[in-house]
Amino acid sequence: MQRIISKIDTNSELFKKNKEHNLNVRDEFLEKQRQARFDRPQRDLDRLSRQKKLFVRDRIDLLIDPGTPFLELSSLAANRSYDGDSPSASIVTGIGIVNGREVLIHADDSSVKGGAWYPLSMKKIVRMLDIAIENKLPVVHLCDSAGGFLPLQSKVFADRHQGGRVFRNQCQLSKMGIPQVSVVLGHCTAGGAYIPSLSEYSVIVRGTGAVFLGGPPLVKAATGEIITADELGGCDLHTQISGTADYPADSEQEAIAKAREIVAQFNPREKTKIAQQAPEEPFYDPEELYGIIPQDNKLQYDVRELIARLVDGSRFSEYQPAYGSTLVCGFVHIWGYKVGILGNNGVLFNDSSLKGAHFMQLCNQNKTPLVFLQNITGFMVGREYEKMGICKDGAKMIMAQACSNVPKFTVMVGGSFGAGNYGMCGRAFDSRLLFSWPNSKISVMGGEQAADVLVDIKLAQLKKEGVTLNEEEIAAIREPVLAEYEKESDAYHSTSELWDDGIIDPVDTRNALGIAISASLNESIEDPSYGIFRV
Amino acid sequence: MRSLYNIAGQSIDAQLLRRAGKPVLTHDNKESAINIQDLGDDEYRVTVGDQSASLLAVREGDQYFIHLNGRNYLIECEDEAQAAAGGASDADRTTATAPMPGTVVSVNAEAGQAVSEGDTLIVIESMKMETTIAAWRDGTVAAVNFKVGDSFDRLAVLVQLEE
Repeated sequence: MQRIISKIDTNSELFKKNKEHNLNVRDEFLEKQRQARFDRPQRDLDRLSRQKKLFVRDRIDLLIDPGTPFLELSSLAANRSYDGDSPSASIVTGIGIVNGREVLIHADDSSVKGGAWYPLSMKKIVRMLDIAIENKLPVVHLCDSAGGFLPLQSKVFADRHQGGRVFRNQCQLSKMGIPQVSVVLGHCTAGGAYIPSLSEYSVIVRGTGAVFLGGPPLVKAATGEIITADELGGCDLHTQISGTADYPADSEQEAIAKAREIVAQFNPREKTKIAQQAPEEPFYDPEELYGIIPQDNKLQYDVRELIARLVDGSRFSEYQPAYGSTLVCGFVHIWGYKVGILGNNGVLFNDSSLKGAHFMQLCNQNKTPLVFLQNITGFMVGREYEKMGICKDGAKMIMAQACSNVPKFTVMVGGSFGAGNYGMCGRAFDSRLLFSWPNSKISVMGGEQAADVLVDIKLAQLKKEGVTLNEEEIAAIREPVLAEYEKESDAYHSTSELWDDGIIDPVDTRNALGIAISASLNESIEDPSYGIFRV
Repeated sequence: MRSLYNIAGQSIDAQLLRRAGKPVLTHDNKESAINIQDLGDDEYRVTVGDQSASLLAVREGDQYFIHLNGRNYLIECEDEAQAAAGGASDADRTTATAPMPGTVVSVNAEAGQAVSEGDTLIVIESMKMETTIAAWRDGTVAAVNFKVGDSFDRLAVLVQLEE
């Protein structure tokens, strides 16, 4: 397979300036991530140690195999919500290796508000279980949550993808034969009690672990009964009498070791075979990505330069290199796995849309997973393109994408606007995993365009009333729209709302995709099938 | 897979095959038995036909560095399609056309100016994206057909280089 020949001059001024800018962007991201992971008020950490509880990160370190990677998901969930009171949405989730098995890990973080679940915590747990269902991955729950955050109870409980969905998903997993292990390290109250109760296996720590439908304060209020948490739903009650939990443990260390032992008993899952070869490092250094990503997303560059720094040997078998050149498609290997990759080199025209649709069909035909590098301002607009049927050609691309049965992975590497987000497998289209680079931006249209549209509408309205506006008054309408767009389109907003599975450092993209592809092969790949292509 | 190797600038067609379970090397319509013994520490004893030699070999991606009889050789594996490519190039092209309708953001060259491949000629904006039209070869600018702020249709000739 031919190697991409990079045209990047790593000594150029532009490269150096981009690099300086993007390293700052990266450092800002890593600092935010460090804060979300580790910055806690001392009194909360003191409380944990008084309770003989480990910090959530230490629990995960004990759970996964030494020296193996942990692909953390949505580390900056909720970073823009609840005044920052819920770092990572108070939950750590990710894919890790336990006794050689790929598993999903869900760990409550009781160092913040007792591990109470905020609305975005619910969204994050539900998403984690969706990932388990889609990829057929076993789950280890490290339970230590006070339950739903009561001041926001109306947003955590009843809707389709809120509290109940966690338990619905647990039941679906079990029905599919995908086991779950719960380790009860704190109180599992009310809804939280169902997490261990619906798991195939559960371990509970004597003294600190408890499972009950109503905790001591609720019992007292309801019936007047005064009882300790341990008597009500502690380790001995559940492992000796009620049978709600399976394995007693005297410490967190013992409980987590027990969970590892349980995972080791799972039957190994036959992985789906896709074309594979020995992995090879990219020929071009992934660190050079920092010098390539432009400082402003609106500056066009060749997406092949990204591909060259993500894939094995920087090799690329490009499909239709001369046709529909604004969508670059072709076969590559990532960590040895053959995948079809699609990247944007400009706006989607009729020909690029058709090329994309055809390429995705090829990948479905030979069961090749798809990777989308999304940097797209949309499908082309204007009479000439409407005349050529840009809507129906775009619809073909969206149909092929949405109906693809192969695993799909999306990386937001730049802008993501309008229907371009759909064609290139945005969040609504069930990528197995979707990652964002810290420089990426998402909105229904560009901020400037949205502001202009709103100003035009306002001016037309006022014109009917015989009112005209001066420049200053127009700016007064325009500026707030622009500012709002700026804030709500950046990667920190989308990741806060869980429109992705996390922001990643661009140089980690190759590894993240490798883990994601490997995990996805726990599920089989169905034969191709589609809806109607408007021809 | 057909293997092509470039040794010291010369393209060589040599294939490693199996005959009755034994490896043979074919080159120049000649087949020779081949045996490679790994002596450790990147050292190998290679026997081809009746010739035998010890050498040091290190692989880095598509490149092999060989030390043999006091001399160093660089062997590069060539891509089949690339080696057979016809060498179509941009050398004869005289015009840069607009990939899509848009407006001109900046003009960075003027008629008569000498430019090198990669130099920015004109920057256009369309659909929220700025695209740089760069010189596709060394040459002299014959004409820049638009000025800053002008709009143009798809396939409009933006810049011309002299033949």
